Amino acid sequence: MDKNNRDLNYSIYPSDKKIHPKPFTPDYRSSILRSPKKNPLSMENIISDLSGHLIAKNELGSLDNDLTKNYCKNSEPLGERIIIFGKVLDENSKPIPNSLIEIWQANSSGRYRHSGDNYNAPIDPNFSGWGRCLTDENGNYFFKTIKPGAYPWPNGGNNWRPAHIHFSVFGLSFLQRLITQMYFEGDPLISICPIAQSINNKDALESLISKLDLSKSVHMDYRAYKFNIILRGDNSIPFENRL
Amino acid sequence: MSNSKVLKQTPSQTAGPYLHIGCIPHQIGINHAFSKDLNNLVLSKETKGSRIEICGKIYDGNYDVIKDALVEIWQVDTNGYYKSRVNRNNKSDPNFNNWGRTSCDLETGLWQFHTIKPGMVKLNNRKTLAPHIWLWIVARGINMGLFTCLYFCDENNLNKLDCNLKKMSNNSNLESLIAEKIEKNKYEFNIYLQGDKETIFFDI
Repeated sequence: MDKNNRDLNYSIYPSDKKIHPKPFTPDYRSSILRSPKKNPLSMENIISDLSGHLIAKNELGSLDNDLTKNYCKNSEPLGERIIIFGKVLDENSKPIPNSLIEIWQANSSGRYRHSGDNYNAPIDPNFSGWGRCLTDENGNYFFKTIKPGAYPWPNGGNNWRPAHIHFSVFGLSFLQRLITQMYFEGDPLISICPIAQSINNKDALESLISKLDLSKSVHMDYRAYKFNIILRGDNSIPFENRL
Repeated sequence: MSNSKVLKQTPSQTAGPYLHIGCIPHQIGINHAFSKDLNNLVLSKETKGSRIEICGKIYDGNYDVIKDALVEIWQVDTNGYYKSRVNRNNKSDPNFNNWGRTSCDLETGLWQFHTIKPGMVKLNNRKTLAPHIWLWIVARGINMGLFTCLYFCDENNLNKLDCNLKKMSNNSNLESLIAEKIEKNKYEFNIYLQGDKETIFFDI
């Protein structure tokens, strides 16, 4: 092995097929024509990257993780003020520091600031629905935001998306790359949403539902929800045993 | 010290139709407070290697072009190295960032990157990987990001030696991994999610 790439050739646990949704989930109509029919092939000889340098802490704006303030035009956005917080960990329970997290979401009435969204609910002039941050040295992250609203969507029936926030997480290697959605505890729309239900595993879906946790709330201002994110873990043989 | 799996992976969910807001807002005219999208491979005058363009379209099961997808790429530099945060003696090109992303054009569905031709990678046991670029595709209707791998039509000799391509030599859709040269230094790589031409995707 070329020694410059040796440290990149670490082994990582596979994607857990019992947890992730299958490509073809016909109740979610868009998946019908966009799901590969063949099983993906495995490829064992790859080098992955641990570069992780996408953005440095000093390149982030000071309000990038505060959606209640990062798009204020004439006042703060309408809606329920919340904090989303948690850790990014791997399957070995090892915290992942300096992982970029990006989020996007609808405003408090369920409308996205996007040319493709034609829902009747109004745009909030003071809310972009965008945020990002890097995890700290212990894998912690947090966002301040507005609780997104539920909204109807075209799926062939009377379909409503539960309130959710989209999460894009980078980890340390492109093999850990993840995009997912976080829901809120107690939402009756989760159990009838074809996208949430594309996950055919009760515990796995439960892990996407954030839990009210007032320990991180801000007195008389923000209540808090906890959401941990678990990425594929390092399965490499410890270095001392490799020699 | 040994590793032990104690936690379960967080499941994937579709990125949905509004992924631009979070990933590449400026590219579709959404102006946030921050000044530029986190999207491009860092190419400067100092970046080593020959400049190339890769582009393509993504087709659904009706052979209709998908216009709302996001494409991310990872690749080694011209000498076959990724950056490393653990190995400070790593010889990778400091002026190249290994990663890029873009959305498909909302009107035409075309995606494109300006990058450099990646180098050959040497693995152990004299195994080699031909120049290649990893792609990751997410969109509405895709429940979990799809990995595929772009090889180059003008690297036939190295492709023949590539230890991964060798293993797939009987696959009837192997051609789906080979980008066609359409102009000098410009390669086309179309991706088919279904049908006779279904692209080979990877579980890596």
